Amino acid sequence: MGTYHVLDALGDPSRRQILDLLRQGPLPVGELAAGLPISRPAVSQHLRVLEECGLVAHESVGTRNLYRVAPEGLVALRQWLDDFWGSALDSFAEYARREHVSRRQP
Amino acid sequence: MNDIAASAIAPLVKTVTVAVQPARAFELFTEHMTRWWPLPTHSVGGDRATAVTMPTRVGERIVETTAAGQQHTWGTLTRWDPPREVEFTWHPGQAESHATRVSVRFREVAGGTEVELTHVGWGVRADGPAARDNYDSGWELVLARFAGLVSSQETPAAE
Repeated sequence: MGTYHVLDALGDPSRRQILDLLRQGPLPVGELAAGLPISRPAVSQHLRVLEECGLVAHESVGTRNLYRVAPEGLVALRQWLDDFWGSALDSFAEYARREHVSRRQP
Repeated sequence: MNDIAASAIAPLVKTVTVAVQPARAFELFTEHMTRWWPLPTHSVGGDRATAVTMPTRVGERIVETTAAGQQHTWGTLTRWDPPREVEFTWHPGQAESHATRVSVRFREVAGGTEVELTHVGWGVRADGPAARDNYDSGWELVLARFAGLVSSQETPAAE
């Protein structure tokens, strides 16, 4: 699953809200739904998307699933941001180099 | 959140050194943005983007223009201090209320100019950890806004 999918997944406000709630600690679906203006099935669907992207993980505790933020997913996003600005600056440096060289030539 | 997650939302700092004086570097960076910015991969319009214009007055917008004449705002200039620093809000493809902040500093070093870019606003703020829980400044919003920037032209990369 690529980083672009992760970024697309975060384009949805409900999923961002779910992540915000989970940042405070692991929660089961029911408690997440209680804190959100959307249905429990909708929360489950969003959790599936977030889990497929690697932003959320779950573990079974007794008869229920506890969902939590997955740090690895955040690291991948950080890497994406790093690449985004890195390639932009590289492109700038290459342009500055070409301009510099062309100015020195007659 | 553990340490790995915390470092993942820390301010992003990138530097590059160019072999020209700060005044020239500043001019190339701001005035010639269309000539160097990787528009096909780093824009709202993707292959349809033809220009991006950096203003010179605080309060004016950074605007991308497409071949069809459509315009997309990327942010607003908040500091214009040539040849030392330019600072702007950043929200390509997203509402202004969700903007983060980017500053670019130009510093003379041996052999040219060091360009340092700092992107902040997604979780670690000057007013401390309490601000981290402010939903509107959450890093998720920021990252999501980058989706708008790339989703129009990119297919998901296999990783």
